[in-house]
Order: sequence, then C-alpha cells, then structure tokens
Amino acid sequence: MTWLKEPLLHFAVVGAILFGGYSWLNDRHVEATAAEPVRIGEGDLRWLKQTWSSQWLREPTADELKGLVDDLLNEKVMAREAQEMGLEKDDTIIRRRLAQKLKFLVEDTAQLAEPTEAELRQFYAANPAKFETPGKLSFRQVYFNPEHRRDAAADATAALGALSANVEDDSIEGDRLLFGDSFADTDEQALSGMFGADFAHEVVALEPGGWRGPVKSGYGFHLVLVTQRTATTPKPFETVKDAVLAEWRSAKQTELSREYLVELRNKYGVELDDSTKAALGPGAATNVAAQ
Amino acid sequence: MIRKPLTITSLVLLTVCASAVARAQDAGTYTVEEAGQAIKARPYSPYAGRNFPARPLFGDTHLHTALSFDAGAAGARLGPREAYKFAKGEEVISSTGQPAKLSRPLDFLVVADHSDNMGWFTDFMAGKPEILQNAQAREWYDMIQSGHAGEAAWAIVVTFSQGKFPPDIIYQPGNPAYRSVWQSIISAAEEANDPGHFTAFIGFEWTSLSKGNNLHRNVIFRDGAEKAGLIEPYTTQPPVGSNNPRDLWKWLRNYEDKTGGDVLAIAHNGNLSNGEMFPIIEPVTGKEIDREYAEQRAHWEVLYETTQMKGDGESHPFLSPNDEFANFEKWDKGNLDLSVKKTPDMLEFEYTRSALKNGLKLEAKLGVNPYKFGLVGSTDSHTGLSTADDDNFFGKISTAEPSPERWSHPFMANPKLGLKIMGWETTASGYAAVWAQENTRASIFDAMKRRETYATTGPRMVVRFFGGFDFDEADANSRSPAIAGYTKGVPMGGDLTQAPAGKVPTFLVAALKDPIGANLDRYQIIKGWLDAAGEVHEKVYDVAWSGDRKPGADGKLPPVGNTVDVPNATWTNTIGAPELIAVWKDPDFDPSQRAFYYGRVIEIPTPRWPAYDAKYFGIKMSPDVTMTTQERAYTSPIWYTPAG
Amino acid sequence: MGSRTKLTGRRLLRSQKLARAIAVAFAASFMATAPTSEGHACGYDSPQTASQGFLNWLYPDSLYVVGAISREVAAGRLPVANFDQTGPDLFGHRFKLTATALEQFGDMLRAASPGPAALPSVSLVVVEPMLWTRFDQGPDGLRTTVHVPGALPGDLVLVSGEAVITEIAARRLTFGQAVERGVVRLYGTAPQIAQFLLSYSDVGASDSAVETSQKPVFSLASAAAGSPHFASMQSHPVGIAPAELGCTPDHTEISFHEGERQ
Repeated sequence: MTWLKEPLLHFAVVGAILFGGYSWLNDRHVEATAAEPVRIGEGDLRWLKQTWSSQWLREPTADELKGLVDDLLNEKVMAREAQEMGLEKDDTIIRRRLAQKLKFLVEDTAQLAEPTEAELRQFYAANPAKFETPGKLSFRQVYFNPEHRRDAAADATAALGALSANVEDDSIEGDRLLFGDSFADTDEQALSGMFGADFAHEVVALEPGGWRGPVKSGYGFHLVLVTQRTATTPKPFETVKDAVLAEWRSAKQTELSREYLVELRNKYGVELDDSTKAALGPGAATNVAAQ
Repeated sequence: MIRKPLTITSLVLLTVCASAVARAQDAGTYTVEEAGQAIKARPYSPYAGRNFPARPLFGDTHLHTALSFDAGAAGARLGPREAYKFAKGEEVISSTGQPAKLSRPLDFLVVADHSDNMGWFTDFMAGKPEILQNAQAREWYDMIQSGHAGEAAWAIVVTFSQGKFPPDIIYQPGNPAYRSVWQSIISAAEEANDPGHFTAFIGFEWTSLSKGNNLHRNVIFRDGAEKAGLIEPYTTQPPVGSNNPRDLWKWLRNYEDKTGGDVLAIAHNGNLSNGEMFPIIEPVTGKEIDREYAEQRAHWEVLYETTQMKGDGESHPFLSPNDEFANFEKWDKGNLDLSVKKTPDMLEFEYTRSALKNGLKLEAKLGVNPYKFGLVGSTDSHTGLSTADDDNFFGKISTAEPSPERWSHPFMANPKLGLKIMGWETTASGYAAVWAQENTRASIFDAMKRRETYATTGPRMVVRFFGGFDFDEADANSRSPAIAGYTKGVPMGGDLTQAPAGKVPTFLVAALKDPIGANLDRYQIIKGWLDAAGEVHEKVYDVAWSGDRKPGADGKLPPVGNTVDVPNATWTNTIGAPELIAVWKDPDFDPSQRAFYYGRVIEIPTPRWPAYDAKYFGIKMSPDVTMTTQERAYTSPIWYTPAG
Repeated sequence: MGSRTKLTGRRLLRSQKLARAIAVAFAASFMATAPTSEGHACGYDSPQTASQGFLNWLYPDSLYVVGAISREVAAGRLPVANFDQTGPDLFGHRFKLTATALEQFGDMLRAASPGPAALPSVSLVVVEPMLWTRFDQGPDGLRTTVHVPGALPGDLVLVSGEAVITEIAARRLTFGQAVERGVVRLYGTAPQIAQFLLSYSDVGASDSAVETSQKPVFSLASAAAGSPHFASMQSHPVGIAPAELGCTPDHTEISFHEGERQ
C-alpha cells in the first residue's frame, strides 16, 4: 500500500513547493501593480443588476449587489494578475481559455442580437421542417394474430375482400390486440412505438376511406381503415416565434463565429511553411476557418 | 460578499409535517369507488371521452452527462443538450467517437447529474481562473502542465471522494459558477421539452453516500425554468448539504413551499447500500424509524428505481429461495465503493420485495407505510447516452463504451477485501414505463405520483395490471381489456381497501411484447402479506404463460426453452407468446391481512450484451461471462389494506 | 553488427527494468478504488479510468481512438489476438509485449528520421493501460523511454492503442495508415504535426527501404479518399456545443482532428 501513496505524497510535496513559489511571486506582483486600480463603473453595475434579475426575476438586494461587485472585482484583479504573470503566454490551457472567452463574446453577441420581424419570418420560411406539427391519424384496425392462425396474412387478405365493399362494415372479427382497435389522433412516432417503424411508415401514407392491407407489424397482420388524416402542417409563425428566435440565434451564432474567425485570420495573417501546407493537404489553411 | 442566496437550512426548520401527512394519504391513487363513478359518467361510445392512458410512455429518469463530476472525469464529453438529442432519436457521436443512435426515440428523459460539484470538472479542464486561484487546484493544474496528468486526475478524484475538496472552489449552492451550471441544465431541458412529443424533465441526483453506502436519490421537477430556476440543487457536503435523507425531504418541502411547484425523489441501488436503503432501524439515529420518517418518505419517494446498470434490485436468492427468477443481474459483493463487504443480514433492507414486505409491517405499527412505492427502471448511464438495449449498449461510463475489451476490465475492485466486479457484470438496463395520458411534464409527473408505472430491463413491452374484486374471464377476452380494467378496478400503483363480504381480489393482467423484441415467457404475480402474528410472507404465482406448459408437481411451470445462438448473438421468436392475458383470483386470500401484489413479466431468453460484443468484435470471452438473459418488467404494486 | 548487438543487449536490460515498472503500473490499475470513508465516490473510479477520462479533455476527443480501434477490430483490420484474453494476465505478459513493441517503434522512428534535428520531442500514450512513452533526442540519436508519467510541455502528443503500435512494430500497418484510420491521433502545433507526418508516415511499411527513401506526401485529402466510410463518419455533426455548456475548452489551436467536431 505504501507505494500507492508515494506518488501522491510526492506530488503533494512538489505542489507545496510550487505553491510556495507561486505565493511569493504573487506577493511581489501585487506590490508592483498596486498603482493601477481596477475600476468598476456604472455600466458594470447596470450589467450586474441585469444579469441577476434575468436569473432571479427580481432586483438584487443591497447586500447581494455588494457580493456581485466583490465577485466581479475579484475576477478582474485575477485576470489582470494572470496577465501580469504572463500566464497566457506559455500555457495551453490559459491560451485556450482566452480563446474560449473570446468565442463566448462572439456568441453572446449573437444571443443579444435582436432580429427584425422580417428576418425572423424569412428564417421561418426557409426552415419549414423545424416548425411544423406532425400529421395525425385516426384509424381502425383488425388484427390477425399468427399465433392463432395457420396463415394470418391469407386470412387478412380474404377478410379484406369482404370488408372493402362497405367501409362502415365492422362485422369482421379479427383477433384481440391489447392496444385496442381504434386509434385517434396518433402521430407516426407514437405509432412506431406501438407497432414498429415499418407499420407506422406504411400506415401514415394510407389515404382515408376504405380498408387497406394487410399491413405487417411486430405482432402480425392488420387491416387498416384510416378515418381521418391531418397533414403535417407548419405551425403558425406567431405561435412559434420564440422557437424561431432561438433557432435563428443559434444559426446566427454559427455564422458570426465563422465570419469572425475569417476576419481574425485576415487581420493577423496566417502563414504556414511549405512543408506544413503539404502535410495538411490542399486548402488546409482556408478550410479550417470554414468548419 | 453575501453568501448563500437561499437560506435553505433556516427555512426547512419551519417545515411541519401536517401538510405532508395530508399529501401522503392523497398521493393521487385510484380507488375502486372513484373508478365506479367514472363508469357511470361514460358515454355510449366506449372511446369517447376516454381519459385513461392508451399506451405507456418509455423514458429514463436517471442519466448523467459530462456535468457530473465522475462522468466528466471518466471522459464523457456529451452534455445535456446532446443527451436530450440522443433520447429524441437523433444520432450523435459518443465520447469515444462512435456514432450512436437509439432503435427508436424515448418519450421522456431526466438529465440527473450529481449535484455535488456539478460542472466543476468541465470548468476546471477549461482552466477557469476562479478555480485556478485556489492553491490546491493550482497544484493539480501544475501537475497537468508538467506532464503528470494521470496523477492529477487520480488526486482530484480521491480528494473529492474523501470529501476533502477545497470548500472555496467546490461547486455547490452559493457559488455563482454553480448557479450558471444549473441554469445551463435548465435551459437544455427547456429547449428539448416538446409537449406532446418529448418530455425533458429538469432534475438532478442527490448523491448521498454514507460510509460508501449508496443512498442516492434522483430529484425530478414537474415544473419548468420559472420555478426550478429559483433554487439550486441540494448537495450532500455539509454545511450546505447533507447526507441524511430527512434533510433532502425538508429541502423538497421547502422547494414546494417557496415556489408552489411540485417535485419528487426516486431512490436507487439499494443493492449497494449495505442494508441502509430501506431501514427499520434508521442508520443516522440508531433508532427505529418513526412516523415522521414514514410519512415523509411515503410522500416524497413514491417510486423506486428497481433495475439499472449496477444490477437488479427486485429480489435476491437469499431472500426468495423459492423464486427461480430471483437470481438476476445480482450485485451483492459490497456497498457502492466496495469498501465494506456485503453480509446476508443486510439484504432484507435493500431489495424491493423485502422492502415492500417490511412496509406492511411498519404500516401496521406506525399507521403509515414508508415503503409504499411504485417501480421504475432507468439507466444511470454516465455517458450522456441513455442505452438499455443489449444490442446497442454504450456502457456505464465513457471508457466502457463499445470496445473489444470492455468486458474484461474490472468495473470496480477492492483487493484488500478480495472484491471485484467485472465490466461484463454491468447490466444493459433499464427504462421507466409510465401510463400517462399525454406526453407532457405534468401528465407524466402526475402518473408517477399515482405510481402508474413499471420498470423494464430495456425492452419496451406493454404491461397492464389491474386489481379489483369483480374481474372475470370475460374481461380477459374482451376487445379492450383496459376499459374493463379502469372501470372495474384500479391500475398498478393503486389501492384496494376492505374486501366486500365474500369477495376476493382479482387481477386482470396483460402483456404485449416489444414490437421489435422477444416473445414473452410468462406473467407472474408476486404477493407479499403480513399475517396475524406480524410475520411477512411472499409467494410467486404464474398466472399466464406461453404454449401448453403444465405446472409440475412442485407447482412450478417448466422453463420456456432457449433459442439463443450465442456465437451469432441471435434468437428466434419460435417459443414464447407475443401476448399474455388472464384474470387471476388470489387463491390464498385472507381479508384481514395487509398485502401487496405486483406483476412480473419475463421474456424468453435472448443474448446478453457481451454476446453481441463477442460476435461484433470476433472475440472469445472467459467461460464465466453470462451470455444470455431473460429480460423482464416489474409493475408497481397494488396494495390491499383491510379496514380499521 | 557490433552496434546492433549492443543495442539488443541494452534493449534487453531496459526491458527488464520496464517489466518491473510496468508490473507496478499494472498492479496500480488493478488496485482500483482506495476505500473511502465519507464522500462521493462512484465506486468505479480507478487511476486508469480517471487518466483515460482526463485524456479526453486534455487532448480533446483523444478517446476517439478507442472508437476507431473498436471499428478496426470489428472490420478485421486489427488483430483480435490482443484482446482475446480469457484468463487473467498475471505476469504482465501483455505489457511486456506492448513495451517491446514501443521500443521497436522507437527504433523504427530512429531509422526513419531524416536527420538528428528532425525529430521533435514526442510523447505517445497507449490508452488501454494509459502507458506513456517518450521519444526524444539522446546523446546518440533518438531515445525511447517507456513508462514516463506523461507528456512534457511542447511535446507532440500521439494517442493510440496497444494493438496499433504492435501492428506498426510488426510492419503490418504504416503510421500514415493508422492516422488515416483514426487509430492514432496527433496533438501539437500544426507545423509539429505536419513535420512528423512528413517524416514518419511510412514507418511500419513492410519494405524497410521505404523508411529512408523518398516519402510520399501525406494529406488529409488522401486520408478521406482512402477510407470513405471513416471520412463520412468522422465528419458527422456531433452537435456538441461547448459554448452552450460554458465549460469545454476551445481547442482551435491544438487538435489536428478539430474539423471532426462542429
């Protein structure tokens, strides 16, 4: 067991040394940079209040506000300190963190963006699949259970001949199915859950009026009479406005991030030496931004 | 700096139990009287105005994502949004780069990340300065920077496990970063929630672990962001949180009082609690549980997660020696971290059936049954992927996602005690089936509150279970047994009170196989009762089965057979039946004795997940690996309570 | 010949040391949970699981090699022998094999090295046992050190699996093919990665002469063309949105495989 603890102990010691060194460095920097105060202004205060209210649905109390300001100050001095220490320079995690922070900023911009009604409507029209009510189906079924019949499919076909003449006819007794014989306002997903995907797929395509089949399910064969079918319809814009906005923002965010990265690359310029280019393949430098 | 925005502890002290009592009695279960009124009000058409549930909704009440400390540390990178997407049937790329998709969508999902240190790991790995300013965190960070990531990882896990995490950086209520993690979980659920099609519940797991004994509870909100966003999840690390379930109940009460919302809690893995999940002697006080404990527990914990990846919790061969199906996915080596070995005397207080039995005993004594719970299954997966199918099993943690050798990795071990659980022993289980009218938060939650639920080990079989005094053969032969079921009796989770003179409880039972799954072997009813001498008993009855099998001299039905081709990981539906239905009358009924009845539906044998792995990867496994299984469903019980 | 013998002798010596080191490492991974008294362990955490898990964050999506290896095994392109363990590996046999393969891989890198300055410091981790190996410039050429704690700052990091290195060492798989198939992933700066691929893509080719001759240029385009299924799978939109969680690291700069996520 002792060997198990050894590495931990070892690293605790290393950690302690590092921590000691860190604190010492830290102290020195505090002195060196004390002259430049970190400022919190009215804008910060307003922003803090807003964030708080959006989460808590009320204004922060005086105490709470004080706490928020404290936290913000801490964050700011820490960030300043990290910069002073040059932490971001040779540290992948810090570097990534900074990049991430910038990314958040870009994304926040998208989150705060307020599209015009026209923009939203245009987005809604361009992405119909995102904002629709799936079609619903009311139907009756007669079940032919292969467990109880020699040839359930043949029985179903024979019964279909007798039924087709009159859609009101319900004289044919099929076998009992636990789900019942009559279904109202069911969508494809629910049907698929009950009978299996193939059955659902086939039945949603049936035209109302007239017995059809046999349709195969996970349980056997069915004759199906669709009594009512509503098509998949777009949800009225007014009712899904919030969802459209959310989708718009998420699309906008992707778009903005991409544009921003392209801009950044243009701003700083990207140079890959020839061997790098060759190794990464044609168009590598430009493609990355497009992803 | 102001501390804790919610002064939970002070508020909970005000909690009184009077209202809890009222609610406990009024948990929304059907009674025969209510059902009788429903029948009178029925119009001519049996379907018009029918408001009982037509099909069960399947879901998972217990899924972890990268935001759970342990899930993230084990490499999970999928968050709540991906988890909901996957549950809705979309394809996602798993944390080990494998495309993953469910055979069909789930109807609902609860992302239940561990509340303690929720989101910390992912923030730490992102190098959040608020975390790195802490000396201990900085030390870990430097270890990683200097090429000792492995040691850092282990040091972090051990520090957290031992409860020695630096208090000023631990993610818990009061820390602004914690609030933002919680807000992100809430918004993921709000976005995924699609009433009528898919329900995304807001929830979390309260991960109480006392001396390594699992006392975990999943907390599920009926409400949306406007209420759940007013609080932050309850944790276990004192002083902010607590390991004591009573404190959780107070917290739940406080939530409802404060927000006017509704919430419930589901316990799980009693099998790893070393006798503490369903106590008679309360572990914290060392005294027998009192009426208040019973009331609170009955009120808040209306469901129990009886099957999941860390083993099945219905019963144990030691407790049910005459039940040949009790030895199923058994995890009985120790507690959750295998720090204490299991002894047989613990078993009675950790399995579903014995808890239901002890509940009758306690009810007779205290007037309230603390263990009057319905049943669900769920995954407890830590991958963001809610998979419970054996042919599509993404494992318990991300490092156990499909690979040629996941079966052979120890899942956990304690060599000091000689205890080890192997990777292949994890169970591809389970889901929660809920008889809700609509696929909405409200409708599913309400069905949970009335315990109209059942557990499955993965397959989506349809299971009906009704109790009443007047069911007869004709009801089993009717076109729509559910109509008889709801009009003449109560569904699973309900209550039967004093039997009318000369009447005996009858049960209308029905099961339909998963439309893309295996046939059914049998439908059993398990009865537990309390005799006049105060002793509890149990008995398993076969009530419907496939084929023309006859019970033997010992009263036992012969096995259904086995068509599993292990090398090819296939089976055929040439045995078993797609549908089972019957009316059963209790042959041993004594109207003066408290009893419960629940249904157990057993599938024919099918390949277990290692068989699919062996076939897919073309590998051999050691002979001790279990290759076949008999999947099953457990219904919530119906209780019989004599008058007086 | 003389130097060859010397090398073998030294390798043998090193192997013995190695075997000991690995036995310890392995015992550690089998120790799994240190029993805890009070807290929040989920039981299954072991040093190995935790470091594997960490890897997936430190080198984003590095555990994708696990999925890629699984797929390759299922497709019959990686041998199952490595995984066909029906009994416990009591004497660390498997680890000796892995260590030998790593040494061999190091020797192959040395042979393929275009010049003494051309090899950046490279750390390789095989994910199953989380065993790290470092290849760097020693006094007499490339030096292989099996079982180091982890990568040092500035290292090019290779993430792979035991079977992959074994196959390369046995010259049944080239390093370039392994990268194409996703069973090796590279993490470092773009020039580091490019340089390494340029120099070592053919390591593992059955004709050892190729290792010192002209090297064909490795490109992403050829990776996609060579394995259409893989390419389509890897480009699938995974849908993770790190920013939404506010917690996953941005890895624009360091992952060669970055384009796979969106």
